Amino acid sequence: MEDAQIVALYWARDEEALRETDRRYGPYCRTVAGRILTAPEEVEECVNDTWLRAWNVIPPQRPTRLRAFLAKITRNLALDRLKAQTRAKRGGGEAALALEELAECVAAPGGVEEEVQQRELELAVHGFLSGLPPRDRDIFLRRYFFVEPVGEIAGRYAMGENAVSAALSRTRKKLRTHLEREGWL
Amino acid sequence: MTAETLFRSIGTADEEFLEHSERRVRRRPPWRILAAAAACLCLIAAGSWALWGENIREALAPRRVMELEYGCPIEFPGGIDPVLRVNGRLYRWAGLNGSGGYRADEDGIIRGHTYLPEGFQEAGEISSVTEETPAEDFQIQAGTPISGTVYVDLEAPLVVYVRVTTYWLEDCFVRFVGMEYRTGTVRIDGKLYQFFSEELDGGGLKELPPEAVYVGEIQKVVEDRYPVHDLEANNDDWNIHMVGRQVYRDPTDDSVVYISDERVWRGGSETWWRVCPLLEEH
Repeated sequence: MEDAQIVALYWARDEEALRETDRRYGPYCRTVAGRILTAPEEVEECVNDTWLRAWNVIPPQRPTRLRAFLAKITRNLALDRLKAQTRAKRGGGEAALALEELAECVAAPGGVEEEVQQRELELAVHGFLSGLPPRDRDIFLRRYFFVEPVGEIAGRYAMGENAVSAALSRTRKKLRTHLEREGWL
Repeated sequence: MTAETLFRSIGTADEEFLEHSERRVRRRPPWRILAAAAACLCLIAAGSWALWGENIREALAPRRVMELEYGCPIEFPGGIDPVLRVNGRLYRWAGLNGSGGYRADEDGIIRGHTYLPEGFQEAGEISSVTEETPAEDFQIQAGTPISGTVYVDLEAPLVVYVRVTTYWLEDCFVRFVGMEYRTGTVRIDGKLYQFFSEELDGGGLKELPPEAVYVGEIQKVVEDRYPVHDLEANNDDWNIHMVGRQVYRDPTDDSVVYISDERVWRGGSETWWRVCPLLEEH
């Protein structure tokens, strides 16, 4: 089944949409989550959460690139889980909670200023990515969006690992320069 | 801003960019890779190198000779693929322009065996080398010093040639193509279709769809530009012969055309049909 047909099922509120999504993109989303989370059960829960999120946002959204759309959801959910795990592991569940309480005094979570800043940073990053040569952009996204190891990136693009590392180093420097110019550093 | 917020911001990357990054590049079979000539390269001592300083001298230290594929290093020194800026446009290194079979001399330097196509005129000299995207005309992005003369043809603005000298090349004509230039395209009914690309390789049909109608045979191949007339193609890969291939299309769907291809093996061959998509930007 093609993406447009799957999206149509979401719009029709037909639960077959979820089965088709899992069939077509389950392994892919598990790979995306698996690069950020380690425990298989965490990965599975993250993917299930992805389907739920997709169900909740389609409609009103009507993604034309369903694979990339799902990858973004999975990645964000995986990062949320990782952050929660890290906080718990610090053992100081209490210390982390205390910090959160103090943070609430400084700025409301998800407050307007923080949301505006986050949006502006996203625009800055988008502008940066748009100006990159396609190959450098591909390598950067494989590493920092998909969290793919350098060796895998090298294999994907038939490059040496040194060349991939050099490309990433070069692009990170460009990103730093870009963020400095935009006033973020 | 923290590293985490930056990392999350990357998570909002454009879906078109994410999709593009999913492509895979096939490494060409070993027999097509031109062999490296020597075990190491020697420093080229010349008065002008004194300007570059000690750290550049280190970069020029003897190293293994690179493997070449179509006259293009598999890995450029410094990990930077050269990009040249001319008349406000960026061009990427596309390989030595010659008949192949490049050999390095005893000192590990490749000389000659290349040529400049007709119609290209001298336009200027490479002015400087940068590790960043070039911001000025005749500036080149590279990982090591490169010098050379740039040649352009106003009738073919998508390609330039440079007579390059680096520490492993001397006076060789290198072809640079526009960053988004596509080879392996065919013009049909005024529109461009992609006949050949790494992404499409291996795809196709054994039988034509029943609604497909005959259009004609490819008449001509042009170089260094997009085809202008119907049933013309452009192609950089001399292994792929385009003239004479049959073209079919579905009159109700101009998003693809079908172009014949042949699979050959010992004792037999069969015709199959490449499904060639419309190039949206043309």
